[in-house]
Amino acid sequence: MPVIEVSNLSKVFGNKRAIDNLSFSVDEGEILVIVGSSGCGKTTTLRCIAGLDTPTTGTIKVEGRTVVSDSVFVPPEKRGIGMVFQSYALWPHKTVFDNIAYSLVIKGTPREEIRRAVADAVALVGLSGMEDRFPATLSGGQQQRVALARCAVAEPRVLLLDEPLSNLDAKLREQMRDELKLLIKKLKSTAVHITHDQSEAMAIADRIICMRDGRVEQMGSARDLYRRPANRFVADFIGVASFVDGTVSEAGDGSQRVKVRIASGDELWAEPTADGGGTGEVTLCIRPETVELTIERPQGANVLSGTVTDSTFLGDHTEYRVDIGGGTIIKSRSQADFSTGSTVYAAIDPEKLISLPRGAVEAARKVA
Amino acid sequence: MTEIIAAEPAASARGRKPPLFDAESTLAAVVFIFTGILILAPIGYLIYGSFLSNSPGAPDAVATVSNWVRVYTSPIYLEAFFNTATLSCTVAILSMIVGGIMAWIVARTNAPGRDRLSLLVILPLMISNLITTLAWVALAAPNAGFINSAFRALFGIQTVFDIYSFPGIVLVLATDHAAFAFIAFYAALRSIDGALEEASYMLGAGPVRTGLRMTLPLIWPTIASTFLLIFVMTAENFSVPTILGANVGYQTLPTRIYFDMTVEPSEPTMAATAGTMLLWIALVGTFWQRRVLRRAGQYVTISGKGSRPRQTDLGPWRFAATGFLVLYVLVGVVLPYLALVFSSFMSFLTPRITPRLFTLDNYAYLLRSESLDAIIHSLSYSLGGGLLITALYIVLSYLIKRAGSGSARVMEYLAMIPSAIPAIVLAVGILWFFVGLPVPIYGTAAILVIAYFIRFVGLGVRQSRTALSQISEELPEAARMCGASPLRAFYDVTVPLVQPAALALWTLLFMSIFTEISVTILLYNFNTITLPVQLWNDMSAGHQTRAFATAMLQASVIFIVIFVANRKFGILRNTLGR
Repeated sequence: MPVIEVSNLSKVFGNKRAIDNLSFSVDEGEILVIVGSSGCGKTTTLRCIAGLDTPTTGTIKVEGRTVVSDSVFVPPEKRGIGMVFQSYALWPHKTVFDNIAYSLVIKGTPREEIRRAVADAVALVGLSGMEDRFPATLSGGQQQRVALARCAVAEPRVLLLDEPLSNLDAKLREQMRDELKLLIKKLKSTAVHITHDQSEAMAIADRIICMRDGRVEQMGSARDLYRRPANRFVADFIGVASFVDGTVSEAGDGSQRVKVRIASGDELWAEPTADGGGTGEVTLCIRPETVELTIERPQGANVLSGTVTDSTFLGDHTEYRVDIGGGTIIKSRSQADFSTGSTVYAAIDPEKLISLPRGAVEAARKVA
Repeated sequence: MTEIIAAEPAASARGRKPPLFDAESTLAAVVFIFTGILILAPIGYLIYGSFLSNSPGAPDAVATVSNWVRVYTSPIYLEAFFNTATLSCTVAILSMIVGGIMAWIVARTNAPGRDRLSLLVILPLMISNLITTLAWVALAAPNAGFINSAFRALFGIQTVFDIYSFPGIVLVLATDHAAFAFIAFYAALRSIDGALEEASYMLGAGPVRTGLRMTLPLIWPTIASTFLLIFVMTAENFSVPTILGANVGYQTLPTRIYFDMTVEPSEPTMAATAGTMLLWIALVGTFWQRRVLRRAGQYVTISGKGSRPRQTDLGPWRFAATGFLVLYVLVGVVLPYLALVFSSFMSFLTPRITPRLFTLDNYAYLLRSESLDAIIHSLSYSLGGGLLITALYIVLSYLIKRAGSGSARVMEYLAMIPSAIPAIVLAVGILWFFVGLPVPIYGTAAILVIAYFIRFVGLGVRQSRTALSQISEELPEAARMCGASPLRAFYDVTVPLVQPAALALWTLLFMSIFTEISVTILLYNFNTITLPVQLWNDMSAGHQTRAFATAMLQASVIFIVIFVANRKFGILRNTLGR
């Protein structure tokens, strides 16, 4: 049974639809990450689940209980949900201990039990010995841990995380996201985590929802979204890609590959679009690591000739920009060295070359 | 199955933030409308009354324009208008020169002891100029004033300086407002990026040229807006010109309004019309001041960031600079108050000082029951009333913050209006508004507290808005996610976080109300008399030394509050922005 069920959720601010008929569910113990750029409605969605915001229409159920619908509104404190805020929202006038103990104090838990639970929570996030400090005297990473501990101590069945890592510097963020995932799994909570950072999403998520303009663009595992993006937006948002427009010249039967003719006149074999339609105008999504550069023309299909226009040495690999004719640039990752201006051959693995429907999504959006 | 638990109707909450409690929007509407009426009705009554032949509500009151014709053509009112304008102009210029020099010394030179002295320099801001005026009377009254008797005894000069004169009024107001100018210029001079001036030096400009070409234009908005503010503050000042101008028949508009309201045969509607005259001055001044400040937005260099401003090494002159600060503190605070202490122990003011003259009667007078009543009234209005008003301002600001837009924006603008209205003019409007109401509120403590609420609403909302804006919405929200009810979250999180700012605001209101005279003088009656009013009445009746003792009592309380507040939350340092 899903722990969180969001059905037909909409939120209108003035004449803007911040959330547009959104439905999804989260299974027990699952970490769902909602990813999207700012203003896509992910924060509003989270706040609606928390009860800090009310949807304009739609229903949300938590553990089978309707918490908001047309006729029901359960206030946040009665939803049994824990939340970690983007700003951490630690109370500056309370010590670390008092911050963490707060939810237990509210519940009327006996003092001894509170002391034990807080000690456990503090140990869990590795802050033992700091119970008497005030939040302002802690580093960003430590504040983050206190916020997590404050949430963890209540052992919430549902945990909401509002960009909890966005205020940390890059190194710490990477470390914290692994810890965060372990912690959520340890608590056996069902979690909804929102972020604008796709790598954070991929690292933490069991499942990702990619949102834009209040709608779901695609829902699935990190692998799905990366390897089988539903459209150009998702392909661009999750990972790096070059996009080349083309026309299907030889359609498959939906499961087989299609042959796509691009502007340079070359023809490439590619996977058909996700909706199975394998005809007409498509956009090819080329991930840089699927493009292999050589000086000699390799055997086989899907080989383009081009000129290296630019290169960026990044240590473990070099990123090249290759002009494949007609001003079309594709990116490639290679460990070999090529000088700028040299002629190269680019072989693209047809299994990993994805065709995306062109224009169809945007057109459909406009009609709606 | 669990739907029965705590299910609340959600329909009313749709499309906006969930309310803190169900009645929040209702409460906001009620509070906004009430406050709006309290702010607008007095002004409406004032203008309405200026077109009547007698006070609004009087049976023989008929509509007329004769007040307007009389006030705007009669030499008495035009002279008062002219006096108000010239006095305000003189005071503004002088106080800016003195305040500007002091600001430069503290912010930009190496004068020894400047940081400590700067805390004393702002003291006049905290003490009401009513009390300071009395102190000056003690110091420089003709014949009997301390200075004059000293000079007569030593050199046989009759009167060196007569405080009851135009120069006397200017002296008191200019020393008082110099502290204000000091703060404004100090902030501006301190926040100019030193790199800008260094750049000017690098390009070959000398200090004088840099000062004139770089620094002066950069602080020009501060100069203009400070001038206008001091101008308006002086124009609406009631107590200083009324006390010190009485002997020479010098009247400004607030004085004129006071006499029209209180001296038989009273002409309240003429007072209201004269009030409109004063209102023009205040409105034009405030309008220009806002405009200047808006334009000043272009001067992004005054941002409070950047490198340290340059300091001028004054060489041996640095002691002269310190001397200037010391002189100001001596003249502005120390000397007048020493004279006040001294004279408050005398039976009456006289040039011939003999041991027999000294008495404790003036202080004993404070212990008779009428005086004790005044003390109790003053303390309860400023402590209790001040606390209530603080709470109301914070609730008002909180609702403005929660409402976010629309009505909140309107409310914020409304709250700024009373600070632009001269206090005594406001008092006339409040008087008529409440006399006109069917509730018997006139002559009670309530009308005074409400009047104080209206008078200081701009200050209060501005201060509590700043305090509230520093508290993120997420803090109480986090408490609710931990299981706290809205009220519990408010009590556990919002209240303790607002508390320091509330305490500071309460202190400020305490000091303002404890010495308030301009509004109180028209709204008090026998049952609600306050210390400043008693002091005023003693002064008018010629019992000067008795008034001195009352002033001493007030000054002592204020000084103690400043001392404690400075210890507790650095009220002086905060005023200087350090």
